[in-house]
Amino acid sequence: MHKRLALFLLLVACCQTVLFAGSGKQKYKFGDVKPEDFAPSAYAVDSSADAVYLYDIGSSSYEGNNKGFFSVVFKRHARIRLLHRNAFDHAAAVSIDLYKKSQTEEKLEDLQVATFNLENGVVTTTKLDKSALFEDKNGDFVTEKFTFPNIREGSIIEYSYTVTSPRYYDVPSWFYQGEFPRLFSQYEVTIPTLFDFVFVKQGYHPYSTDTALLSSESYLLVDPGHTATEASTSFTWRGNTVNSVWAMKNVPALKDESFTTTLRNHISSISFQLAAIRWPNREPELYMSNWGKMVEDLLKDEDFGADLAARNAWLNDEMKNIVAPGDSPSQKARKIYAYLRDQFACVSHYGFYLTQPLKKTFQQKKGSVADINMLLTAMLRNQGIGADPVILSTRSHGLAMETYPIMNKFNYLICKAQTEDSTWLLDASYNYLGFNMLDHECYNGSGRTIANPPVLVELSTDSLIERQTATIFLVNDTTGKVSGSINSSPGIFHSMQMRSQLKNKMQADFFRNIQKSYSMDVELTNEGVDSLNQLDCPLSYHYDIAFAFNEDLVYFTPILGDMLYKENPFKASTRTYPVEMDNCIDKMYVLNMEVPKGYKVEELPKSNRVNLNDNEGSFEYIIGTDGENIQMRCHLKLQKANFEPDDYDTLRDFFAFIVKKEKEQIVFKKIKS
Amino acid sequence: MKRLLFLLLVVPFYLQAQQYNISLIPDSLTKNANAVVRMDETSVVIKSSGHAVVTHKYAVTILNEEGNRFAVYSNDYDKLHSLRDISGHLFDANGKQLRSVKSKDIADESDNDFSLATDSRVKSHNFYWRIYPYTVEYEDEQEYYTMFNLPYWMPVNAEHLAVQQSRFTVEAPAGFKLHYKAFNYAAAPQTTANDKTTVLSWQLNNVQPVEREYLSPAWQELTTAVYLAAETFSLNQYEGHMDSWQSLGSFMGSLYAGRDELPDNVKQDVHRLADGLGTQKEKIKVLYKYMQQNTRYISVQLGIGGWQPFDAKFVAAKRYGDCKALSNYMKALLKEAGIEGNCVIISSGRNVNKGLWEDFPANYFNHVILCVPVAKDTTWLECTSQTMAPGFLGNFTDARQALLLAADGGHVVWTPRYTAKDNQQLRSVQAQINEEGNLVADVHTEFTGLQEEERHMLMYDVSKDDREKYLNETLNLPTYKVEQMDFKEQEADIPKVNETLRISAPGYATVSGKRMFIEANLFNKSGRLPAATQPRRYDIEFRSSFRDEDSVHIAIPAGYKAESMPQDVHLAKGFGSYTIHFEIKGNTIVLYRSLERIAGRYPASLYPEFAKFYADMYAADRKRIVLVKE
Repeated sequence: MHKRLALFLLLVACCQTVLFAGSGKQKYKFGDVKPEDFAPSAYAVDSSADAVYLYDIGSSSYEGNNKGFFSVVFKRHARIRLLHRNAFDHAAAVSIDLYKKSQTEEKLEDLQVATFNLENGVVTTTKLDKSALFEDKNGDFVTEKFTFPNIREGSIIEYSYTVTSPRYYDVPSWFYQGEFPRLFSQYEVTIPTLFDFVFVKQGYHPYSTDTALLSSESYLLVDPGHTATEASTSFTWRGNTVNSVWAMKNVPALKDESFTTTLRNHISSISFQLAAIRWPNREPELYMSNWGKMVEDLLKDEDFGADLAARNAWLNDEMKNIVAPGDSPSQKARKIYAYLRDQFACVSHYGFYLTQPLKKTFQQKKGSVADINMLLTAMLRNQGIGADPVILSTRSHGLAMETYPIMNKFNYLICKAQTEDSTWLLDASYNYLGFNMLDHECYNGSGRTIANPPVLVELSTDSLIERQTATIFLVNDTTGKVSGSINSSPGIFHSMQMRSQLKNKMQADFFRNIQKSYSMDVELTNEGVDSLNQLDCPLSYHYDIAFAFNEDLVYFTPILGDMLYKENPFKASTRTYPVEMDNCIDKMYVLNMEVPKGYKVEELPKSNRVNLNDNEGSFEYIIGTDGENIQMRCHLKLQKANFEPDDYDTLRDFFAFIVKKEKEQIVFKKIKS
Repeated sequence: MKRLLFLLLVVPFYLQAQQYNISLIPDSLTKNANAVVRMDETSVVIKSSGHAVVTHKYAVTILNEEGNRFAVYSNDYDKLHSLRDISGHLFDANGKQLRSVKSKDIADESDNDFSLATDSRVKSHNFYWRIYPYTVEYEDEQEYYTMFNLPYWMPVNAEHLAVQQSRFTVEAPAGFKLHYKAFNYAAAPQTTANDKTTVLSWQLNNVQPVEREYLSPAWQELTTAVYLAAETFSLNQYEGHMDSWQSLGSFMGSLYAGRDELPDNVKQDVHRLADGLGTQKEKIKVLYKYMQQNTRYISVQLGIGGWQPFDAKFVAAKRYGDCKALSNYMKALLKEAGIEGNCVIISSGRNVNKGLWEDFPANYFNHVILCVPVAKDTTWLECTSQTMAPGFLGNFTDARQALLLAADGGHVVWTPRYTAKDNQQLRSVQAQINEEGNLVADVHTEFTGLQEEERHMLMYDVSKDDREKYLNETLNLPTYKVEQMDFKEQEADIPKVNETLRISAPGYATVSGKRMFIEANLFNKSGRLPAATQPRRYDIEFRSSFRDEDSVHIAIPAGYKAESMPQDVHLAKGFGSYTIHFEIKGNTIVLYRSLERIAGRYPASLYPEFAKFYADMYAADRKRIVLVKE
């Protein structure tokens, strides 16, 4: 895990010592906008910001509901200063998503929306018409949407609302950071000690307030009765609560950078996971405790592993069509994997719970990534091959905790299979993946087998090496031209991307782009792509070229065509976040060339070798001639895929050197006869 | 007799289900195809000027992975169009039915990724089958509660799609005036009429896949299509006619009638701003700025609100509106100042062909702009932009025909077609290169007309950070940094942006021993290299004209002299001209480059000439000067 990535964890248990901090709360009253609030034309937090949150304040607390238990009451109140039109579309358009499935329906209340302007020294208020609140229904969700009326550059806009949710196990996350900077952002959470939550904080910005206060409160719960005739009963639950306040001041806007796994990993935020309900005088009801318990529950869960324990005899008939009795375990695994990958459609690459029973996935030949890879696990087991599901968080979903089973941090399921002599990680949900290969989205630190015992599966990009090679032979042909053959393998990860492109009858375009990348006029012949459909290995391509040397002086770049780094991949001149690349690099370029007939070598580039931070990377450029032949070797190695922001300048300079060096030319001079 | 008729109707359907066996597809259709439409029947039954029933049934065989997108069913509905009776079936390669779709599997979602509010929703379905080839068959029924828009028929609506059989049938009550326009369909429609109804039908069989070419004309010109228009239609309580542009225009005008009343405070603003000004042009400019500063664009499309604007009072109070509402508001501002403006209904975007077909009045439109007609000095106003220069339209609405709404009805007008002289990029560069090959350059560029639009967006529509990021990533240099940047805009009918950049590019020139290699054409390298070999099928179409000029001076370190200079290139063709000139004056490299392109339609036979032009330019743009140390 990255040193800089300040992802840490707090466990709050009811017996833990709780700080008694003075409550230094400021009051934020809706509509209390004064003329002097319009005075600043820019804010120190970011003088070029198009909008600034003057404050963004949220709270979550519990109340007794009429279903006999608790609801979570989430309140939000934000006041935003609009400084430039560019912010209107994003800062002044608000959507609130509400979960509307019966029984757990969320309710929006107390929505207040207003725009404030300063006109002739007086603050004027424009409120949102009810008719301008729009609703979008999509499945189990309803989105309430509005935009602020009467806004201009300089306006202050403000909104507040309350959402009540009977989903007592779901305390909303809070994001201290977003597209616009915030002068003040605070989240206050009051939780009865009945509920034991794990808090996950991430980001780099310091808290200006971080307090917890223990007190006692009573809640009125109304049990509606279980039949129509049964009367409802009310009762009071009294107990301790923990009131926590986390606030930040002057939080800068979130900025996008290339070579970032996901911005999500960098947002200053806090999120919550229910660990247990601590009923009085009873054993705690554990929701999340440790991986062992989690695995036990998941394997019994109908929506996860319950079917894995069964014999799944319904598979037997079809299995006979897929594998042959004499197949080795490895052959069987490969056939089953290919069967699912090629014939099944993955309708969603999100989630690790099953969306339907395995049998239905099998019959319909479609399902989510969890459905398909769980079916893969079941089919492998059916053939006596050891296989377990592995859950992970994809790169775009952000980092997951390794130590604690915080389930909403996971979003993907793959299969780990093993025989006596090998272990494979399998994902049958993408039709371009080879056996024992994963999409780069899966390389996000680690995964966890859901098996006894649960083990950590290393999935680090630092362990992935993209091996690229190119070999070039150039000879004097009989027609007086220099002709050559080029053979190139772009590496296993590039191959995945290229396959879909090349399959689509685009090979002509592909070679055309190669032709374009030459600095001189060349014709490509005998073009071909190998291993296009052998997904288990990298593809390679080859072509022949020929060109004529006529001038007295010929300048020749020995790194041909598309093997050349034309641009520095690290364009930005500064860097905030760590550099997270998809893989390490091992790129080897070899050229063997006859000196063109009638020419001699006037000048050769110098051989050179540079290292990146001692041994994190190296670039070697070695060239030599005996007068008749030129040999060169150019070798780039990057031993790490992840670099700290402090290393950015060095990394950028390293690539700048490569780009420059690779452009150097051989000068051939015509021999005067 | 009745029973026999019933049987006749049923038998072909039953047979059809067996006919999805892929062996029944002619070989000629599968070449270059990802999918083949096996049958497609669209039937439009017009009941009255405010009611039609459209039934659609089709079957597509998916040949490979790329064809999967044709297997997705999707159709939308809103307050004016219902959608029901959707059913679907999946067949294997032999035509054996594998699955049927049940109504609960049809997804129903809001069709909203753009508007704040719309009543448009989408129903969609996908079998997600992955064993090729396979066939899907769907049918549905829609009711149209207005004839304002009618369905059209475009049997080949995508590349790599073959069509085995497709038919379009329109039934209307006898005497109902229906217009149609057909493209790439030589014959007249088959017509049957009795005293109650008239039925027209068009049919295509065995059409091979179409492949687009670089710079080919709009899709609708390449393939068969039939469009319909009802001469009389109703839209909610409004009645209208489409027999002429004049009548369609007066209908659209009626939707705007009485909606231009301004509140008193805005009227006062208008007089305060405009009354003292001398010319109409000045007044328009001031009021347009006022509109820009006091409103913003928000899309709200509900029911007839898709066509009728919010009134001017609403816009004044909320300070927002969509294209109709903002144009109508602008019109009201001008009216208060005694200037008559007209709303112009237009088909927007880059992929629009001509905007409309003059001989076929119909509702093609999706946008509204404003026009103040004056002989030889007409002003055009795009009212959804808060920053655009008054009088300039840009490539969203330029060079096309549109419908101007006047008191006497509609008139077809052309929007401005900007010339190469309007759309210029004039650049002058003063640069130095040192012995290590590091380059520092001061770059002054003047962008005008359509070439100004991207710079305009950079100035107004993105944050400072994004502007810096964009400039630091998009200039075509290996490693560089934009050290300083400055933009100034001059507003005019043809607006102009002056951009000043200071750029440092370490290692721009390659130093190798005693030699230095420099690509002197620093910032304007053509990127496209059209394939030279293929036979060209379609005309070449350039939608806009432009002119680029680059004048580059690079001071080189003392002691170097030229060892090799690239040759000058000069190309001149009907569609454009190109010049590049290299020279060394003392210790300064001087480069001059110009490229001019003329909009127009050029015959396919010119393609080899065109490809060579681009190939020669591509090579010349990248030529290196070689310097050698004495």
